[in-house]
Amino acid sequence: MRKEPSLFVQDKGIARRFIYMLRKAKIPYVWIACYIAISALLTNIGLDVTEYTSKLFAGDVNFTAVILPFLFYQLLSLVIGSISGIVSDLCSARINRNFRSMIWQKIVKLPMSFYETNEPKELISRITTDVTVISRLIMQVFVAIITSLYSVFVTLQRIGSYDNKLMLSLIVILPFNILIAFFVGKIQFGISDKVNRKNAELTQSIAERTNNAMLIKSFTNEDKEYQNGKTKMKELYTASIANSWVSSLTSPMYVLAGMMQFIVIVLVGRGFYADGSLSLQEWIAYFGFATAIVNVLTSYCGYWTTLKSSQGATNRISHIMQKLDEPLHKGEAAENLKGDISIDNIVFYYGEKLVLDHFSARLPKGKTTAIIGPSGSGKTTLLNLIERFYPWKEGQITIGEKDIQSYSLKSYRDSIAYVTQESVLLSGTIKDNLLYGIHRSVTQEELESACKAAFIHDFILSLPQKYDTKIGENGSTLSGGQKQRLSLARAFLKKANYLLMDEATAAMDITTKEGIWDSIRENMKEKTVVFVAHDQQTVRQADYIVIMAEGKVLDCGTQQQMKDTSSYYQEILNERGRE
Amino acid sequence: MKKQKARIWKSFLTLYTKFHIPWWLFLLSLASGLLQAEVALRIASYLIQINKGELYNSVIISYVLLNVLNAVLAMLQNILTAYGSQKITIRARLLVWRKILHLPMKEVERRQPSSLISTVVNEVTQASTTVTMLILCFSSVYGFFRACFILYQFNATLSLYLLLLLPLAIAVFVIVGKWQFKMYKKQYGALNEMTSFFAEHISSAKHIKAQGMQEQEVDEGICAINKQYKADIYAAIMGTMQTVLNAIYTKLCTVVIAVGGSSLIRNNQMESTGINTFDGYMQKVNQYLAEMLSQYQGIKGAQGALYNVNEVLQLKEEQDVGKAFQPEVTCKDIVFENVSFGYAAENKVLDAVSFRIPYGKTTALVGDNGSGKSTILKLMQGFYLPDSGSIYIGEQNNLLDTRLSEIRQQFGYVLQHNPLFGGTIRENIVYGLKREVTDEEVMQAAMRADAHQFIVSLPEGYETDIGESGNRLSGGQRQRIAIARVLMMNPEYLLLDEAGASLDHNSDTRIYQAVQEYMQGKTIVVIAHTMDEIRHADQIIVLKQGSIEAIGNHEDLLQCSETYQGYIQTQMKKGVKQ
Repeated sequence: MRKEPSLFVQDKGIARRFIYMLRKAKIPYVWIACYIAISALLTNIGLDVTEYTSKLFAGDVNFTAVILPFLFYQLLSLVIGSISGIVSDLCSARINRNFRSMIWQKIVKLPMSFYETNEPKELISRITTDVTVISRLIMQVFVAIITSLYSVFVTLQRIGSYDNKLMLSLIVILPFNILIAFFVGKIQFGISDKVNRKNAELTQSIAERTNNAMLIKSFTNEDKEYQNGKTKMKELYTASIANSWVSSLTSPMYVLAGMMQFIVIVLVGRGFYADGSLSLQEWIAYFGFATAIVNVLTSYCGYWTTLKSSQGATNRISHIMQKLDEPLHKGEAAENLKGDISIDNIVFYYGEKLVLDHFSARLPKGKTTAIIGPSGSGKTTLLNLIERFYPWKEGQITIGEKDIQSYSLKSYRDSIAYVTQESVLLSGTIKDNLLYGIHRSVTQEELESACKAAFIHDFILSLPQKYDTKIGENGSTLSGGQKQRLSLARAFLKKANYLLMDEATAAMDITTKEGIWDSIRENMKEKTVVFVAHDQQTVRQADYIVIMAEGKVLDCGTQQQMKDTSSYYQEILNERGRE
Repeated sequence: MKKQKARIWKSFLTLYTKFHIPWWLFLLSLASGLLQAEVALRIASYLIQINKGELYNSVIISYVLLNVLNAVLAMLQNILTAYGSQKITIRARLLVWRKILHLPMKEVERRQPSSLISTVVNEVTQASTTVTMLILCFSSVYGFFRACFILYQFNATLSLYLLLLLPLAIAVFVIVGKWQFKMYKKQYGALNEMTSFFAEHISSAKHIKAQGMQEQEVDEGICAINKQYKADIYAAIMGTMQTVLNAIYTKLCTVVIAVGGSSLIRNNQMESTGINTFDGYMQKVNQYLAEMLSQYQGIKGAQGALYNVNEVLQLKEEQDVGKAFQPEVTCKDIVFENVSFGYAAENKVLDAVSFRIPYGKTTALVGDNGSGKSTILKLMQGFYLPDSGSIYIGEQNNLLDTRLSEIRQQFGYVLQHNPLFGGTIRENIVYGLKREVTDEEVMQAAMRADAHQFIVSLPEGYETDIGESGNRLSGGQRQRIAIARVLMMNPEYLLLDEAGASLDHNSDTRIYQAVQEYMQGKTIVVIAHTMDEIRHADQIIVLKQGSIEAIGNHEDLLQCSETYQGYIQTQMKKGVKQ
């Protein structure tokens, strides 16, 4: 239907987006610079260590000239090496943290439509795992290239101090490794990305199912779900095995390449050593330096693989970062929002489906308006548009003769209390949930009176920890009716001028519903209430009624007018005529 | 403390008795590991020669060939280990997944479902680490002793000096292992917490926006991220300390060799290039030691990561044992006898209720929120077990000693909001069916649920992908698909818990009529808050605060139930036409 091309698809411009993303995220430049400086120092110390070692190996055991400096440099390399390790880890951790905050800030501020085109559960791995790939990319590729280039340079210089021809012979064999790295990186990338993708699929499927355990039980579908999970796990298994084949096969290739270089190094060195231009000590040092350079170059192979395999994650994150935020603070402050809600010729498409078709209505201020009509007629969408969850194509919604789009989103949403169809509670205490989104200090009395109005106070008192009782994830320990009443209490606490309710009392029993409606009328006196409902008991509460069908207004008017003229409304009141 | 430690080890080891380990793969990998150790020692001896400047062709060629051989052996070992560990991972994963699917509802709710995700996906992968490390450890130990032996042969005095450092080596082992366990436990714990935070909050996006909470959410998210950051930093420091400890040990070895070796050379007790040779083998010894250490770290780390996995695996499953369900009984009524139940011990939801739901009739449950209506439906299906009393589904089938899976198959259960799964509409409608179904059947169920019309209006009809949890459909559309799904099951007993509350009036009426027709001669138990659905029921049970106030039909209750009279009066108020 509205499936956006998956975020895994490769596309152009990744480098540009990556740079844009790096600019946005706070990279700990100072720390990284520290790290580079420390590793440069470490490289130099390493050279000295090799030099003294070679003297020792060649049999020079003078205590003050060789042994003491040797021990000193060993100690120094231990200390500096540890510092460099800790700074490098610190850099990665900081990059992870900063990227995670950046992505989370972005995700929270993206418009609703984003959540519908992207599977929400898949977004989790953007924050948890994809980020670590990026920090690896920065620290183990970009920064590592700088440090290793430096170390190759310094080492070559040192060899050059023995003999320039030795140095030149080494430079000739350098590009060999880089070629191999390029080749292997290409194969490895495709497969490791597949492993990540399969992992994400498994996570999503498991997440969806663990949250719906009761459904699975009620259909006694445990065995089939077990098989479903098994299929996903098998796919991951196959991908992982393929991945380890590739990486295992590449290691002998690296060794072969290394050996060829070894042969060149030894043959060149042997020539110099044989004609006496290198002493034994210098030969040992030269061999040590050359091995070090080969090791550094071999790690370049790793850079390429890491670079290629981080493309997927980089791509996915940078795509998110490119999306436009909802501008929360742009526009006029909507303090004291008042007046009729007037909807004028709104055209709204949900994907390709036309939901509101030149819809116009006026919802009177200070009154209670019911929106009724068959499902799929666009009632919830209308509330969502008033709440400014989605942008629309054509038309205008005004409150008090002013386009609602001109208000700043934050202040606008603060002036409206919206109780959605499915009550959403977050894990935490009851009090946390009641105060969620209330931007002022609330006294205990106020809290209790809101709960009394929503007929939930007695229930809360019956709980072991009263208002501080923890409710499970998504409020799983509460019944549907209890959740709805908590949501309503929260809406009362918000003290907004407008209250939107989407079947907010549907799960309540008849007596409670009646009492709740008395509370709503009292709490929202002189204020505007708009609600969607189906049952006659609730619909009867409205002063004004809008009947919708297929994205248009079928009929509207006062309670009495509708009772007299609308056959649809009469049918609802008529106890459903099921005789 | 000691006891707890023993328990950690015990639960850790029992994990490995629960699935089959492909030992032959690991044994082959061990064999190749031992060969590698031998080859590596030969390589070391050639390297020493090269360092001495003995650059003969034979030395160079042997060195190169042995290195290639070593790489091939390493490749073999890698592939064998990969197969072995991936096999272990998938087996452990399946084990945990099966466990989670069979956990009782109470346990699932207590543990917070989202935290179970990372148990299946991430933590389980550590199970293979232990076995892999153990096998690698064998070859390291072998290499270690071989290298030590060569050292001893080369120069006994110097080797004995090194022996003095042995206690230090052991201390390093013990300390590093301890730190590693703590570190992993902390890191996985933080990752787990962060994952479940984002899982919950990302799916509540609409709510967050409606409450104007984006900014606070950002702060809270950053708080969760910072916790992970702290765990990372902790791990970085601990990790470095471990390397430092190890480095101190190896550097001390070097010092001993440098100081001791140089005095030996000065006293002519060793040849002048002796330090080179000695150091060459010493490096091998230390390399194997470092390997052993990291393997030990791996095992201790895995213990930390598997802590959760073990905990989940030790939970009691729902028992699907007992007698087979007997469908052909004389009386198929559902009977509750003195049933009491509470979700938490101190909070009784049902208090010794007894009633009978006659087969083939429609029974309505009415009562205020929290009076225990929904709980009764859940108890019937065995989602929770009663604290006392008994439940019979048909005369001979006591819920407590009959197979739960067979009991649940008798029921169709529709709630006010029913979850759907990602996939096509058809897949959702045939969910849970254990037989093949024709398109015709699917269509008929959809028609009865008043869903056919909107489904065919979608571009891909029944094959439309509805997105994760069906979030591309409206609430009413989801509900109708859920009803069609239940009708496909052809249940003996249909339980409707506010099933029509999110449907519009016309649709609700149509569906209710179709359902009643379809369920003719079978049993419907309905919870609703609109009196017209209730008044036509054959039997009405009025609940009040976990007890039964009255049972009867509409006329009876008008006479004897205060609560029921109250409901009718509320509905009649404001002069609705009758």
